[in-house]
Order: sequence, then structure tokens, then C-alpha cells
Amino acid sequence: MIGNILKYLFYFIFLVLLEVFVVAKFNIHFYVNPHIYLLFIVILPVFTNRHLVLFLGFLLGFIIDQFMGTGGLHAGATLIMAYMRQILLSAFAPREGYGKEDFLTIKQFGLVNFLFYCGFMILIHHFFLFLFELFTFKNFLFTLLRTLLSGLLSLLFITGLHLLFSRKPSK
Amino acid sequence: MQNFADFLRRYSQFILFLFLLGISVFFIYKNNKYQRVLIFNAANETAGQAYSVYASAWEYLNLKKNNRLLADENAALRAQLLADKYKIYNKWMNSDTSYKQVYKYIPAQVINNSVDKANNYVTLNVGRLHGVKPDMGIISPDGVVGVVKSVSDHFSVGISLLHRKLQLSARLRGSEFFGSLQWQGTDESTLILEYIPSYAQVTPGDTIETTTYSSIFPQGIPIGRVKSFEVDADEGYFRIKVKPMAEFRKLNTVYVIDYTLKQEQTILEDEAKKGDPE
Repeated sequence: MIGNILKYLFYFIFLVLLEVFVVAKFNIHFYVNPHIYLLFIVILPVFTNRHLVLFLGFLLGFIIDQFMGTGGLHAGATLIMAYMRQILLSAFAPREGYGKEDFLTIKQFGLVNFLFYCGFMILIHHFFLFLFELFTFKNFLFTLLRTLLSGLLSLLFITGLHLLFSRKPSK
Repeated sequence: MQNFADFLRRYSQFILFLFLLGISVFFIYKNNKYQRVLIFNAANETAGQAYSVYASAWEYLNLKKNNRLLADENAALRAQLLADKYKIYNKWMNSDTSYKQVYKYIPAQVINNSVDKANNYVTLNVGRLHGVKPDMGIISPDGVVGVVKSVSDHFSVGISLLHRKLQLSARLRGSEFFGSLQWQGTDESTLILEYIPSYAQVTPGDTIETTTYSSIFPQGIPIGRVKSFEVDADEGYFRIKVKPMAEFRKLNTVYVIDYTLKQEQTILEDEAKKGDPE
């Protein structure tokens, strides 16, 4: 239990640092704006207390906001994503249901299901993030395009990171 | 009472969600108000510290290139200096040389910077203690970078030219026509200059610079070059696409401009406006 908390604390700090000091510095293009810190909410154990998931989503986003100077953009987007997590988890549940494993692994999910689950999480997060950023429905097509293009790259990064994370315990 | 407790238990998740969402939206809204772009509070001072550690590591890696850039700038400045001295020697030797310094330059390092957001900011490693105040201009050796918006003791945050709400008065170098320059929010290499009358002479490659109608920048600081233009037939104005001079992806050493007469100017202007009917 304590080990688990420490593990997730490590992920939390690691992802925040990676996001703020590496990914945010990419500045690839206006339309390609990946974010990886939401992996933390994606990989929380399936049976985590739902209130805790919401709170952690908000807190994670809020800390990112403090670094980016963006008020509550990331907090809002991550919170909405955290709220939708439960629905997505049941939608993409494996046929036998979830096991009691602590770690939400790709193996347990199946790659396709994981990509769908993770992809939808990213789309929800990015869509609300970019919508809040412009704070208007005016450039709606821009927002959709940004969501799609950025989401694809985020999915690539996040899946890669997740594979990296899940390899560690077996060694 | 029992019902109410049931209700709370049933919807507690949703209530928590709404509560936290309310907080987020409040912060987003607060942050979106132009005048209060960033609440540079204690937490951000911490973020600022973290960024400056990061920036100093990054600086170290770029030392060679930055040295070269600074050397180039030094050379350019020295050239100007010699030219000035020559002039003084020939013509102004005996005249009164006690001019008042109108613009002061505070050197600064960019420690955080973005170019891919809808509104972009630069964070500088100088703050109130170095004499930086809100609404001072920021320039790089290449050209205009932005305007300081918030200041803490050791850091300041400026809104960059790549911010949809920053509007600058700008003119074509060598002509008296001026217009209003603004970013549209999608392409980091294009600013839009409007309200230059369609009978002005414009050619691609022309320099766009700051005007005298500004209490932020001295006149004649380059902003960008004309990329292309079109004439708005209905309005009789040019719509000119301008590529900024400053390389926003490579910003490093910049200067904050302190216009020492600013207070005098604004007080006088406010006074003149006082009698106006609203």
C-alpha cells in the first residue's frame, strides 16, 4: 500500500517535471501541442476512489497551470477528463472484467482497447484545454484540428511512456 | 433528512466535480482578463525559480552561440558609437552635451517562452528590484519582442508579440503612414498590419518599425518585414502580412526599455482628457 503510494507519487512528480521542462519546451507548432502529464490519471488503478481521482485530476492540472501561468486551463481540462474516466473505463473494459492488479497495464487491457481508452481520454482533455484557451466557440474548427493533431502525438508519447513505466516492476 | 443524505451520497461525485470545475473556470476567467494577465504570486515566484535553474542549464549548452550573438551586437553598437563620436568631434564639439537620457535599457535573460499557444508569454529574470515596471517594452537585438505585463521582485512576465490582445502602432520605415499591428493567433511567422492607406507605397521586404505614437518603445525599432499585402477594396486600406524580426524560438538576451518620461507624459495626457465629456 505504502509502496504503491510512493510509486504513484514518483510518477506524479516525474510527469509534472517532464511536462514542464521537456514537453512544454518543444514548441512544435500552433496545431501540434502535445501533453503527457495526463498519463497519471490514465494509469491510476481501476478501483481508485472516484473522489480521489477527481481531486488528483484537478490538483495535477492546477500544478501545471502554476508553471504555465494559465490560471485554471489545465485544471479544468484534466478534471473533466478525470470525470469521464469512469465511463470510458467501463466502455472499454476487457471481456472478463478488470483484475485486481494495482497497475493499469496494456497487457491487461489489450493494446487496441488501451489505445481507444487512452485516445478518448486525450481527446477529451485536449478538446477542453484548447477550447478554454481560446475561451470562445468562434474558431471551433481550429480547436478541433488542434485537438486531433496534438492528440495523435500525445497518444504516441503517452503509450511510449506507459510501456516504459510498466516494464520496470518485472525487472 | 434521510432523503437529503441519500441525495448527497448518490451525487457526491458530481457535486465534487462541479465544485472543482467552478474553481477552474474562476481561475480561467480571472486569467483571461487582459489587465490581470498573470497573478504573479508566491507560487509563481517558485515556478520562476525553477525556470531560472532550467534556463541556466540551457544557457550553458548554448554559450558558444550566445557569445557569438552578443559579440555581433557589440560590434554593431561599437560601430554606431564611433560614428557618433566622429559627428560630435566635427560639429557638436562646443555645443551643450548635457542631454537627458530618455530611454534606459535593462538587460535581461529570457527564462521561459512559448510560441505555440493562442496567447504567448515570455518570462524574464529581472523584476521590480531591477527597476522593471508593467508596460515597459521588451526588445531583442533583432527587434520588438513584447510588453511587460506583470512584475514580481525577481521576475517579470511579458506578453509577446504573439499574443492576440497585444496591439502596437507601427509604420513603414521611411514613410509617415502608420497602422495597427496585431497577431491573429495561428501562424507564428505572420503578424497583420492594418489601416495603412492604400495609396502608400509598399513593397515586400520593407521594414516595419515602431512609431512615435507610443509611450512604450522609442521610435524606429524594427518589428518585422513585409511578407505580402492585399488591398481591402471597401475600406481603402492595406492588409499587410508582416514577418516578425525577433526570432521567438531562439530568444535569449533581451532588453527591457524604461521610458523615463513616461509618468510625465501620461499624467499630462490624463490631465488634458479630464475636461472631456464622457
